[in-house]
Amino acid sequence: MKTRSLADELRLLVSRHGFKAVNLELQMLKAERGPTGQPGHGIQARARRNGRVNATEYVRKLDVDADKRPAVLALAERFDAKRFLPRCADIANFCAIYDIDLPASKSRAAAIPRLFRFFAAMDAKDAERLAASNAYSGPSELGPLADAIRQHGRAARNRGAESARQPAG
Amino acid sequence: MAKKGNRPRKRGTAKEPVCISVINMKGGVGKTTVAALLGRYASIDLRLDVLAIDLDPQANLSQAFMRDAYEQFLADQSPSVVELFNGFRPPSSATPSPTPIELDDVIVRDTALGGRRLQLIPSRFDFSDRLIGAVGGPDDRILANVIAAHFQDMDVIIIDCPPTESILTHISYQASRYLLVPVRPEYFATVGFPLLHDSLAEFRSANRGHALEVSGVVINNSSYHYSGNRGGPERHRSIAQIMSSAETNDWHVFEHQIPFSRGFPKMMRGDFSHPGDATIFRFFADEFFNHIGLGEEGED
Repeated sequence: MKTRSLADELRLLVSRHGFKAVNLELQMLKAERGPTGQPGHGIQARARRNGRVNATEYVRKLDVDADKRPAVLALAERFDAKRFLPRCADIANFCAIYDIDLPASKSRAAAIPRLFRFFAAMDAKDAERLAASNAYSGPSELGPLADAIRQHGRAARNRGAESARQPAG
Repeated sequence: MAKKGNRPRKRGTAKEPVCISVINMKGGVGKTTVAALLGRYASIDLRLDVLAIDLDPQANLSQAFMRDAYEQFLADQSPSVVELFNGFRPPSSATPSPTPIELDDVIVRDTALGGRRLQLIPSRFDFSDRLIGAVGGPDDRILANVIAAHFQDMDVIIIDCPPTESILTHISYQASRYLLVPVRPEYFATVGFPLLHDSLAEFRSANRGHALEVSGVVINNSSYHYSGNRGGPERHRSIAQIMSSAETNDWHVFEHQIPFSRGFPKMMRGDFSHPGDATIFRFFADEFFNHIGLGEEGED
């Protein structure tokens, strides 16, 4: 069988997936390999090697309005780093709250398309608010909260002491 | 929780909000947990627009709703119910004079327990000092005025009250149509009842045009000392005492009790895996909202 040339293979891919998608994949491959040309070792690279979907990659391919793209991308990056909806139970809770019809699953990756299409369709301000919030970062620990309360209490007491030291009149 | 596609239709929004205070003059009965879960149930399962107001300076409701975002709230010195009541933000390193407060500055529009349909006016632990220490004392109609002016588009307003009687109790009375009284079946269960009864009598006497009702008493943590004999005689004595005291005060007792479950504190922490018996809360929530005309049976 005659071996296909690179150009033929690329034409085939473009006819199947479209120029934009193929180009995007090439760009991501380039970014992943870095200046040395060696495959990366980050989350995205590992996910690609294992054939798993990655939220950041998914959003990069997704058609998102320019005004909300940074917020949706930030959500995707936090999702991949498990700082946003870190567990399946968090995703189920989020879907119940936002009326997202998502079948129960044991895989976070399976939820990515439905979740991120939802974020892409959100009002830009809502997406920004969500991206800026830590409300969906999973179960909380009381320790940091107690520290924040203590710090706030100290600051308030110091302000009170300073104002008491101010000479009257 | 109701299954998707089988949820009740959202109640018409033409009505005024129904204001409920969760109150007991005794601490540790689960007021905050009950307030939080009623808000969550109303927003997710009944699809109602809910505003939760944290009047407790311990601010546990705010922490449960905002979770990690509460740390940021403190660090940023974001305005709370204190500034809402004061009507201004105090001078700071960034602003050399008092600045007007906008409602949007105070409301948390998206909470971890109910998203956009469950909003919150958060509290701070220096709350009571600021209010009670105010020269001349605050007007107890302050919250009622804010609700009348700004929150008529809500369906339900749930107020989490502090356990001891103070100006905050009267602020919640002035804003409320109903009170809900959680109680735990234990020896000290009903010590708060006579205090609440007297406090209410005094309020009603001074505010004769105000229809403020105790919607009922809910027995919370009802199975916490089950040990193979369903709590034994101590639990039965406590329940009997609650029933008797409620009858004396002419207060309804809800048929559905809230069981002990490790799922409740988990949910307050933001852990929704394996809720266990916490799912049983919906039976009480259904009964409660139907009782005050907001559940499926109460729909137009």
